[in-house]
Amino acid sequence: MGHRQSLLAALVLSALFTSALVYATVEIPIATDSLLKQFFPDYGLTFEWGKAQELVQALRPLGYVAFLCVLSLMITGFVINRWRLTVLGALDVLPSRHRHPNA
Amino acid sequence: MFFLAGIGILMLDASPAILKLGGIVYLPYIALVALFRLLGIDAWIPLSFIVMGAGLFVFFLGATAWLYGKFMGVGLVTFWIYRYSRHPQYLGFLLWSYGLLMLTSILGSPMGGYIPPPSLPWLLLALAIVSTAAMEENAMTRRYGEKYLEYRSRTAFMIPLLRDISSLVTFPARLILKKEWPESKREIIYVITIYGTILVLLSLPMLPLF
Repeated sequence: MGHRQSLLAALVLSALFTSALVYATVEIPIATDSLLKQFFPDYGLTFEWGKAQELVQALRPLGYVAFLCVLSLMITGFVINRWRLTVLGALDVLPSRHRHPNA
Repeated sequence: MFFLAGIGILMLDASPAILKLGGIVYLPYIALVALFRLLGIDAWIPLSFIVMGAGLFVFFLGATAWLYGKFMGVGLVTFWIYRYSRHPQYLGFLLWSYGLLMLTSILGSPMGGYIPPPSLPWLLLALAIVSTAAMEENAMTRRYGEKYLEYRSRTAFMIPLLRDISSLVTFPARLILKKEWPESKREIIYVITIYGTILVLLSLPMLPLF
């Protein structure tokens, strides 16, 4: 590939990767939220705080297990020299807070 | 993703203070916002967008240089943004997510509820990415030898800092290891754990904030 074509291809692909990063960060939590709502009711929307609290209590062990899984992924990546696993684990703790569109 | 990681649940836990154990990461941002406040400008939200934009720009420049180098068959990419930072793509991602953290920290919670700002997850993310970059550096040193060591000696790890500030930041690592750079996996994990512990301890006085 020539100098000009290489530069053009690099620019196009970088723009694509950058857009993908933004899109994934914004959209994945929203898509996940929509998916999970099919299985777990969103009592917050109907102001049923008592039921919401009960649901959170019931799901808390699952949350801790999932959190430990993410930490294990990061540690396993180090141990077996698969750094991509560590990065994947790190991305799972990305500090994004999904706000409901109606909130 | 927070929900899947279990942190969505931890946010609603009886002790949400856990999530604030990385509060020290707010300090540089608070200092910057305070400077603007002296000029009568409330910069918290606009600045978070600027940081996010800067992160994306750095990520874009890093990806462009790296891809161009690969297409041209260059083994070790040391030009363009790689002249100033050895890990511009990681730096870009960290800046982007930092801006996102700052933005979400100031947004109110629905129905007046309280959701603590997740500074500890960001700190964990940053430490994991820094340690991954350090591991990659050791692999690059094995692959390119002297050529990479020479590049490392003249280019910043991530953020080009003044030499004095850089020495101050790396002082604990040099003190622990008695050398400039961790050379094995064990040393990297050891150093990252020490840094993580120091940063969490420094965050304790900031718990009442936010």
